Amino acid sequence: MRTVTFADENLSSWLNRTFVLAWYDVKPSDTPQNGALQPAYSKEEIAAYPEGGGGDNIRTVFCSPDGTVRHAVQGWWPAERFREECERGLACATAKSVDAAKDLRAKGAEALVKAADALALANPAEMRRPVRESEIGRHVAALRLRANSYGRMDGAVGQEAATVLEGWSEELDGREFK
Amino acid sequence: MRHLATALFLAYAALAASADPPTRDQVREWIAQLADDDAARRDAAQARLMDLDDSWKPALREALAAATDAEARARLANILESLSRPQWIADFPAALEKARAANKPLLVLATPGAPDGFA
Repeated sequence: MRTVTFADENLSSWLNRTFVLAWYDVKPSDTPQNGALQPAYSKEEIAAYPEGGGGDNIRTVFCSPDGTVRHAVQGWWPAERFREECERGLACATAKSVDAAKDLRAKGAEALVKAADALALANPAEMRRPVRESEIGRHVAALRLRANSYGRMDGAVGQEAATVLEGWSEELDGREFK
Repeated sequence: MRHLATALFLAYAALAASADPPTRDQVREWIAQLADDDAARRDAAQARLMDLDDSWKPALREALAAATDAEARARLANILESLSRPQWIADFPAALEKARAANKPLLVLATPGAPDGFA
């Protein structure tokens, strides 16, 4: 995400203005002093990396100023999609209550599923092709993946971020990363 | 009780002072200090400038274009690059405290590795 998503200067400027940004290393015991844990990727590898890839290796959490989780997603997203999630995250983080945030998330997930279904319906030939060969197929898959990731993160919403993050660190303890 | 009230007032005043945005004169002074003979003063000035929000980027670019001191130029370039990237706070409690103090929402990226090593 550093070389693609966060290399987008407009996105980075907006993030700096809108949020306090925290980076939480979920496996600090494995992080060497120079900070590198993941290998560098070539431009081709980066371009081929699927939207939503990375699963629970990358989780983005949006909290109200008091540190309560209001929205969370997982996976890697290019700048445009990440900006969309951050806009939703901002709305949830500034909603008047956790329940209001949950409502926004539910509507957001529903909108993503509808968009995926509409795109799939409008492009039946593309949907018959293998996903890796169809840009539309990949986009449909990415929309559904985003919607699903909301569901997987539901348990975190309403919790204190510190508790959630510690839980994730414990979860990943012992897991090897390539 | 009076001492407690005084202590609280002073703490509040310090907090209010630190929360005030810098003035143009202050920023100009920090930029000038990037070429100071004293290394500690140069470092302190750079730290202050890196804490600016990106609305100061045009002024910093102008300063970079006008700078003649090589170290000041290098430091300004570094500051501008830093302001163009997300300003991650690696210490979560510090980030949470900042969010609370500024009443600003918090975005946390939870992943293995440190920001500089993240591909």
